Amino acid sequence: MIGRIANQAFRHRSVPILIVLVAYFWFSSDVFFSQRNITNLMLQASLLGVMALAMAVALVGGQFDLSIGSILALSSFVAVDLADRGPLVALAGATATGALCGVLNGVLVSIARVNAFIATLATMFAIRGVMLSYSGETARSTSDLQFLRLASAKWGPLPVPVLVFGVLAVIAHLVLTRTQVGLTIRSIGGSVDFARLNGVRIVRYQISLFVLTGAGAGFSGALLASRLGAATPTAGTDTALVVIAAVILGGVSLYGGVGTISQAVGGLVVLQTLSTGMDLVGVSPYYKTIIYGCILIAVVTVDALVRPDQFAKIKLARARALGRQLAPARQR
Amino acid sequence: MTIPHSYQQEAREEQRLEKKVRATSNRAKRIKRPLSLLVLMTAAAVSLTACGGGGEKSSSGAKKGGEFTIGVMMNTADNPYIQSMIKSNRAECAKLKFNCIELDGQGDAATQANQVDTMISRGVDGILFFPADVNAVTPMLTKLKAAEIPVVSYGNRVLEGDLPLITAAVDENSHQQGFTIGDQVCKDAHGAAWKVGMIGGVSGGYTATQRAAGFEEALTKNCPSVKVVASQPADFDRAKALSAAEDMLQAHADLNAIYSHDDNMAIGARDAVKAAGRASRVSIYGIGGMGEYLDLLAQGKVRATVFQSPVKFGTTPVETMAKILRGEKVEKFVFFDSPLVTKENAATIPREW
Repeated sequence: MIGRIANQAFRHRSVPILIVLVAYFWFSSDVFFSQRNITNLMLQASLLGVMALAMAVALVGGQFDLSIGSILALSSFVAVDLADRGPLVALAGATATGALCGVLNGVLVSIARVNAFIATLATMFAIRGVMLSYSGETARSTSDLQFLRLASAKWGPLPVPVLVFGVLAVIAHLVLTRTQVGLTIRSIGGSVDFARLNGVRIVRYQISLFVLTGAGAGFSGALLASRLGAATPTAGTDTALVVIAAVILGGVSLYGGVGTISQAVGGLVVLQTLSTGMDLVGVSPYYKTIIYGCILIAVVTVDALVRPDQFAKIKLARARALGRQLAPARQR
Repeated sequence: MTIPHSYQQEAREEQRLEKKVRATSNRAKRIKRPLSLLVLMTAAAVSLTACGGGGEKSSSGAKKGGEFTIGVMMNTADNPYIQSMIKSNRAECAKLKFNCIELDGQGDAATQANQVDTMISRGVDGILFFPADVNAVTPMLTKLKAAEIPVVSYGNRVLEGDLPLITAAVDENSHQQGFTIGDQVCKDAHGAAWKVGMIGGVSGGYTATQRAAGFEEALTKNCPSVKVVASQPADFDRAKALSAAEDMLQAHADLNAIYSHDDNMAIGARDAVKAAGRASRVSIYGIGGMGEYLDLLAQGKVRATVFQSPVKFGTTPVETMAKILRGEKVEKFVFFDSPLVTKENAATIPREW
């Protein structure tokens, strides 16, 4: 019984970490649980959240994308430029820009067979360069009220971006667990060769994963521009790392095939609570980064100590499946 | 991925993997024991508390006996000048018995937007605001205004349209600084048609734009024959300035001077000039009054700078905020001047950063 609870606590590691964090911040600041702060926290998390969802799906599919920060910056400029044509046009334009960048990444990785790390590192620089020349290296502001409402509108007490994020999270969860597409993504993440041998069209799926992360970054770019009332060329320099850190923190594996949407959301909430809480309590900026590092190291170390069995299991399953394929008639 | 060649091989592989699975799941079980998990969680909590102890103790939003809580929103913390500023900020806060919450914006407007929200929910009495990007502050300042929290901006100057949203702006007058150095270049050129290379700060930023504009204005006014022949941004970064200067020296064999938007970059430029063996022919100019640079200046290895005291820059906003909170009237712009420093007076300037 206790063992099972511990097991669950490890699987959903964000929950115990979150309990510790919330207890600490509750103890040290009496405004932590104010409605205002909780709303802030959710709004801030949801801006990163759309990217975290996409990244979680990509990681489960065995890919990851370092270029989302640059895509975020580029598409925030697109959003500001389209702002006067209506907020939805701006949002769609930014998302499409992101998706287009995603196609580029996807083609590089799946057709040109460049390693995802290298390919998206390269496009990270290239897209940032495009953004810098497109923007002339200066921020561009907008005062279009409709556009500014995109991130600040509220539905009851909840900011609209939080609602959107919630809906997207549910959809992502359902797709990943209940549909064939979701299971196929997971199987590609587990073993590309195995999936290919089973007739999965790898290229198609891989490109889609990058389109997803790109579109997520584009969407967030529009929200960011709406929140700041401007697009800034310095935006998103460390977004990719923060998003990947959040998702990994929650328990999604960097090695593909393992992870759930709830884990990604958990990791995100932990990171955001930590960040907002430390600002609230007044932790010195120097310690803040140290604490981030400590927590991430702790989590991935425990992960590395416990995780290998899953990989061995996957490899075993892979070997068996291959064996069956090579010798279907053999007696077992 | 290896494909087993024979059934025997495959069977052996399978056995090996199975053994591994058993071994690692045992290991996993050991770790998954609740006790270890408890220890781990406690360790995390303790480390968090220990680290948190390094920061300032929170006294929550409520103030005790006239003690004010102020959010100090820094643009970034990874620059020697700003670090000196933060130190004097902190000292002034301690002197006035303010509870100052330091926040590092990491040079990113989005980070600062989050911090503004957090400070509003914390209910601080005032904000010292060093904007990372002045084009993206309107929504933040509007929120602060709505929450009736006074804002003193410093470091980067907010745009004309945002001025009504802040209570006061502390300003080092970047344009004047650029002008002072431009004027000095004219004097040093003695009427010769000097060719000058300019190494800029963060391009598009107010400081860099104004330091360039002031400098060029001085040249056109006082010595039109001196021309800026090359201009490159180096983000106030010494290493970037070094390579920018190398490029300039390569491209212009007859360069007479390099003007950098801060001393940190000027030292980078000086290193490049020295390495190219042209130290005697290329004069170096900076802005700021960094200790390392002032030493070089006293030795005559660089030509001039202006002294923009980080201590003053750190204390003035806190003083201004104190006045505002006490209900005294303050000017919209609080300037402090940056005197010219050459070899003659370099030794008398305090080394503040």
